[in-house]
Amino acid sequence: MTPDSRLHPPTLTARLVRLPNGQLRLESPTVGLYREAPRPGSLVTPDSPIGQLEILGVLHHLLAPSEAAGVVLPAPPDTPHLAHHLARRPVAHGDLLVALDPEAATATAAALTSTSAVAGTSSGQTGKLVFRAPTAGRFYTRPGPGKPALIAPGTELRTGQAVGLIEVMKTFSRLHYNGGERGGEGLPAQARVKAILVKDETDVAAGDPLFEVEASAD
Amino acid sequence: MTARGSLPAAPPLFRRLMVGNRGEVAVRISRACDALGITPVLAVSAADRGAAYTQGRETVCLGGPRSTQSYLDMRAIVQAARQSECSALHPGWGFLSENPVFAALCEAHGVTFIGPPAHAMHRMGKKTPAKAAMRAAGLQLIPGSDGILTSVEEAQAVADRVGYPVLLKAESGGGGRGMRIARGPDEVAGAYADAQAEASAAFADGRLYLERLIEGGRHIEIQILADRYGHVIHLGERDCTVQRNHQKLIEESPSPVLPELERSRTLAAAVRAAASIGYVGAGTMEFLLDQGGTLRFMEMNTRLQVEHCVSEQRSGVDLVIEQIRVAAGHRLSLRQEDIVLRGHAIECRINAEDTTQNFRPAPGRITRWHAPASEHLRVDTHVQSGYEVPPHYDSLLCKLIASGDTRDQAIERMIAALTDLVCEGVPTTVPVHLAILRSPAFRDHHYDTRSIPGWPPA
Repeated sequence: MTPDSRLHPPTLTARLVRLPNGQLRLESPTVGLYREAPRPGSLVTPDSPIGQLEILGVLHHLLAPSEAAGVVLPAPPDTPHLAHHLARRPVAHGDLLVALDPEAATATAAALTSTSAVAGTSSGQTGKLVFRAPTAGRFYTRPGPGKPALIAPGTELRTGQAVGLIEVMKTFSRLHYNGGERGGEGLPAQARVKAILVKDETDVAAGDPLFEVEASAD
Repeated sequence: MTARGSLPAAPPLFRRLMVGNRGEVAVRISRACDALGITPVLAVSAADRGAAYTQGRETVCLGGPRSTQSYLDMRAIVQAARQSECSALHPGWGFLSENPVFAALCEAHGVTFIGPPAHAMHRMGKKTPAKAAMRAAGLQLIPGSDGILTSVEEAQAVADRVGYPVLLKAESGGGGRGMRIARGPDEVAGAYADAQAEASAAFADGRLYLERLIEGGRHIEIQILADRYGHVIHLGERDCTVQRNHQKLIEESPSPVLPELERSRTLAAAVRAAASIGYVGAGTMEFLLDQGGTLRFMEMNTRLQVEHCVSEQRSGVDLVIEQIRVAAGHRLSLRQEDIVLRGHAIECRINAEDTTQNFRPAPGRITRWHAPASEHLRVDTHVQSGYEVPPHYDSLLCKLIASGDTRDQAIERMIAALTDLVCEGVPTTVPVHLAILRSPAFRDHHYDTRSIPGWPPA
């Protein structure tokens, strides 16, 4: 016996056709009623679900092929039968399920990658060493108005050295450089400030990068 | 119709009908649908999508070009029928037409399967129950074992009783596989072992039965039509002796060699046999005419056959229309005494095969096609100029059916039609048909299933 399809839905993989204009066409592999199509503008990634195909009353999960990624394009205006509001749309082998724009996906993916590089661990994927805000609050580079900034590009840092202030609910706390410790995992114990990434008096979230450092020899 | 004005037209039997087949078969069934006011919806494979014969028809693409991905994909076909709102499905011939599981799947999903009920199909699909039912109905059988053989010793004993040569055959066999001949007592054990091994490998069923091998017989079959209410009629016999590798080349009706007494006796027995098993729809019983002039039952095909046109031309009955009517629950509109079989009809199957290369199938593009047309000629084809013969399916291009008052007249008309047929781009079997029809052996009936009369040319 086949396993209970309500608990273990069978899966089918859509067929991929590359159009001359660069768009990807995901086609139905067989005959069935197509439901829960992804909405226009949503992102389809390789092997991700793109809805369900009902064949003789059995729901099959439809997956995108492993080479397909892109943003779902809206149905052309002259094809009302492709409208996404239809609960179930009869499709045959080779019929269009969704059209994807892979370049929109590349842009989205690039944006995601650059964000994650900054928001990643201290020793981010790109090899940058960043000092991050331990809590949300307002970041000050100076200990008081009219006083010089605690750090500037080129400042040599050691563990325990004050690098700025953070104000949380009217309470000011000093931020200390803490190479290798909490909030500073991966940072060297001795470092030189390379670039300051946020301006004085900027509201930051926990984990936001505040400045970039590089290891110094001594 | 009445004095108060004409009655409204009868409602169609079905409004929409799925055609689960391709090519010439789909064309034939669509034509019957047109005559009945039914909208046919053609199930097609990716290779047949857009073929000329689908123009102007609704289609649903089932899957890839290979049969297993399309015309043999039961779920896809039934789902296609459902979502295109067809309440009936005609399987045609070949593909899934004799598959009881498919018939049951159609019924389970509310689609009327145009063919016999699944249980009748299942019963006739297995060799020994089919033979038991036919024996009980009074048909002559080929002498052999009473059902499945249990051992080599039993095979030896049965073979000694029925006489040599004998044929060991697989219960679930087909297509000539799982068959071995034993010409003497010392060959039985070896043939038994070989046939069993082949049957186990090919059909996962090593059960065998044994029959006397009838050499030099003629292949004769009887067309049956039955409704759900126990009415069964026959449409005469067809002689399909001209074969190559179990593939029929020429079919004709009536058989030129069948004794009149044997014909009437067997036709009546065939009708009784079909009624006794509760058969519904169109079916064919195949017989071997042995050299003593006795028709011996071989098997029943629970479907329409390629050569059904021969019986249609003689009787004037449209078998596909009758099938659809019966499936819709109608009674047969004809009684046996209404059936008048006229003259002689002969059919040639024109295949895309290279007769100079041992009948190698020759797919390709038909650059020019012209089918003959005349009063006594019927042409069943899906081919047009520019048609691409796909390499995935059988090689049948066209069927020519000629009729006449006499056999000779029908043959002469067929020769004229074959000469007029134009097919450029792919080789066809027309030269073989011409050689057969012109041969003295064919004209004088001196041939049997072992050889093709007039071929190869001397």
